[in-house]
Amino acid sequence: MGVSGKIIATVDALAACCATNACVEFGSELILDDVSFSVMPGTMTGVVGPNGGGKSTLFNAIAGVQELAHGSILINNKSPKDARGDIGYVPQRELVNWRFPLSARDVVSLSKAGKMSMFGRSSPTDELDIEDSLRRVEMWDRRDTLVDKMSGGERQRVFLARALAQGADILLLDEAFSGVDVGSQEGLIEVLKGLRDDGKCVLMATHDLNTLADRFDEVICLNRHVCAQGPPETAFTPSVLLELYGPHGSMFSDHWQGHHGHEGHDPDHELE
Amino acid sequence: MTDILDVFIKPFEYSFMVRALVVSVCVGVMCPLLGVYVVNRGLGFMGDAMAHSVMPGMVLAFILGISPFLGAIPTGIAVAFAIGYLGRKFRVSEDTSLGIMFAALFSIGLVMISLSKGISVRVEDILLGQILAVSSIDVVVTLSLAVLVLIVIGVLHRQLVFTSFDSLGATVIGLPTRLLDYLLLVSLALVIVVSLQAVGIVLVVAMLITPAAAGALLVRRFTRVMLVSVVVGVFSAVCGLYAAYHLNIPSGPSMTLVATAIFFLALTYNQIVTRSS
Repeated sequence: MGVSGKIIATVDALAACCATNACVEFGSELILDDVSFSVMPGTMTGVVGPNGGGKSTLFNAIAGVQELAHGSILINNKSPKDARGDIGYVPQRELVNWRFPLSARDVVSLSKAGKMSMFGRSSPTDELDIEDSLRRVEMWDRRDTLVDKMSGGERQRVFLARALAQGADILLLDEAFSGVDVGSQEGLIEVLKGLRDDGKCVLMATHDLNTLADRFDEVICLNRHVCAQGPPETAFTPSVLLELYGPHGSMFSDHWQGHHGHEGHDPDHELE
Repeated sequence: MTDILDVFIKPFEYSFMVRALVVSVCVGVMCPLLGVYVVNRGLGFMGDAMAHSVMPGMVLAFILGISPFLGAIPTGIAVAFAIGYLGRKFRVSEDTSLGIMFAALFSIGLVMISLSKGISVRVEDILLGQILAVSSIDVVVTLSLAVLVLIVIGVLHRQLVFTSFDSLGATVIGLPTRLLDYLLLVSLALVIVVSLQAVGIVLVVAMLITPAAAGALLVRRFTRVMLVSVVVGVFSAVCGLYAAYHLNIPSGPSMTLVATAIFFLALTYNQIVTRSS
């Protein structure tokens, strides 16, 4: 007991992000109930679960903009508020004012907003950071294009570049694939895998269960509490799917096991 | 040749015209600078409401025989905080509460004018602007407020842009977004108050949004839109001042109409460029 406890403590100390019994309440409702997990640097983790299951709330808590009622979340062994610079946040597209006329370079330069500058001028070292980050996500050629005129995938890359220029090593992407076509999704995933291989910890909320195994090292199944965490191949047991999506979840289970047809008797369907 | 010089130079033999010119340039610079935020954050109605809400404070200052700024500045700041609070509390559409508040305050101002006897100011001047009546103290107050607001939005440019574009992202990197929003609203209130004598309560919104909208049609990126809008704003204000002087019309409508004319020219230019590309 003592030895294994020590091992777990050591593993958690190495974690990029570690939640222990984290609870979030809105009024009297528990949005996150006793959430515990840890993710390591250099991994790419998908967070799946139903709408209203607390994915965005969890991301907000990790980012330090949502207070916990109980429990703790540690980012690189610091509280989220002390770890501000470590977290790069790519918000849901609905939360951004796209009408605001900024170019890709303008958006990435916002990463330097922690410093003072007259009329938003950047220092030469900041300019280098901005250029490197835009090149890293293959958007340097599009640097002067307004983000308003970009496709969903390009916008996500620009926001990733902003996180990189900020020096973040934990990247949070909330519903990053909404409004992004399949081809651009693959491109974005390639970029993210590259960042993971550089040691970044990538956490992405997603709805697409069918591609999890190709895209992510680990999944966290979240429906108010953590139903499962582990490699996508083993995390989805029928009981986890039932807990996540109710009886309808069995349809995903079919996909997961490769049975795309509905031939044969499926006992789960009798639940409906 | 001398005739042309007479039109442009002669008016400034009068010191009231020199004062009017200084205030016009201030208005032409400050309104568009805040205006680009107003346009890109969809705050046009809010700006209009703020201007109308200042009315009771201004009228009270006239009744007490003190500078209108002494009434308008505190009222403007109070209104900015009230609007900021409503916006935070109701999140989505605060149009209704805003509409009720500004119509009521504006009406209180009008009733105060009707009831007070021997007030030295004409209602039209408050509503439509009378820049030729600007006093030396007004010039000093206008200049100081303009410099103050210029410093605030210059130093905090990147932070204000971040909050306007991606409020949650700005909070995540640790910016005080609520404070920045209030700062922007208070700056807006100060610029509106400064502009009241030039363009009047009813038409402040025109100087806020028309040059900024014209700028957005001519160039694309935010900082460039700011610069071009300021050029449009100063040109409109100064041309409007000349027109007010020579044609003996209120300065608010004349400045507004010049800005509107430039807006339509910009719109035509924009259409030609988009069609040919």
